[in-house]
Amino acid sequence: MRRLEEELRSLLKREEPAEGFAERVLERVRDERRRARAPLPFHTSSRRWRPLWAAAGVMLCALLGVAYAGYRARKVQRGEMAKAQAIEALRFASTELNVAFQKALVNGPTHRSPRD
Amino acid sequence: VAKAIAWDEPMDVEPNSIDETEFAAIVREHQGMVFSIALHVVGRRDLAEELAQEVFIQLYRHIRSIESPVHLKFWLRKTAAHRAIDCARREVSARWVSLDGIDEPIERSEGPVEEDPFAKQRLQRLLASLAPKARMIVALRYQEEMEPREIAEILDMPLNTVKSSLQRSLALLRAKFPKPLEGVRS
Repeated sequence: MRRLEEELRSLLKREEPAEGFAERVLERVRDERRRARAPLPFHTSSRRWRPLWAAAGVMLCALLGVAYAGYRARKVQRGEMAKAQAIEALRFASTELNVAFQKALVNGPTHRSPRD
Repeated sequence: VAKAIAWDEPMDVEPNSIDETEFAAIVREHQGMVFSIALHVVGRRDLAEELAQEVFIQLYRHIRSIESPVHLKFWLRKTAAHRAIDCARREVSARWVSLDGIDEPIERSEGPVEEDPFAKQRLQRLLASLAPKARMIVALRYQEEMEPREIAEILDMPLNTVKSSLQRSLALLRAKFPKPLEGVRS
């Protein structure tokens, strides 16, 4: 048991990485920092753009809501106008018919059918 | 190699207040420990170097959360161990070494394993046949001279699991590793 443990200690002793390891790590750190500083393309969904995208989304929704409300109001107004016009037309037609009926009653029938 | 190791999160522009000289000193002080933990579990120098670099880059991101030199050592061991186990698990599927494929032990010349290249190679193959976590437990025990309690903390495992895994691994290695030939010296 003791022997195997000694063998393992000997086999698993610490080894150093290849020369210049720390410099390679630092180079990667610098690369990362450069990439983090570089301006991102407009469409990139980076964390810094998220609030702007959210605000733009809210604005767009609000604009669409306002536009839809305006469209609905105009549609209702046009309907009301059409309704008023229809009522007016019916009232006029009713008056005309009433006049014609009264005339017909006073003058009697103007012509008879061939069977009479 | 780069694909095998996942990045955790993007780096902030100014993640900490440490300067490069200070950070380089930390890397130089601990590079042997981190590299060896990785090497003894993944078994390849290129992968171990890549993994060790990733550990130090992760340290750079989290340097503000390090409270003391003891905490730094614990953090490095823990991060290296977990990353190495993950990496070894991915590698295992690519090249699995089975204990069945290793010959029965033969007697060998007496003397330390490093003086006998065949014995060293054989012990390396036996270690490679262990599961990544069991290999890590052996590496932490005999490379870092850590107690089972410390290993359990590093690997987030119950103490008894660490002890039983270590005993099982040693029993396997003892059964397969050749005993020195008495009276013959190399």
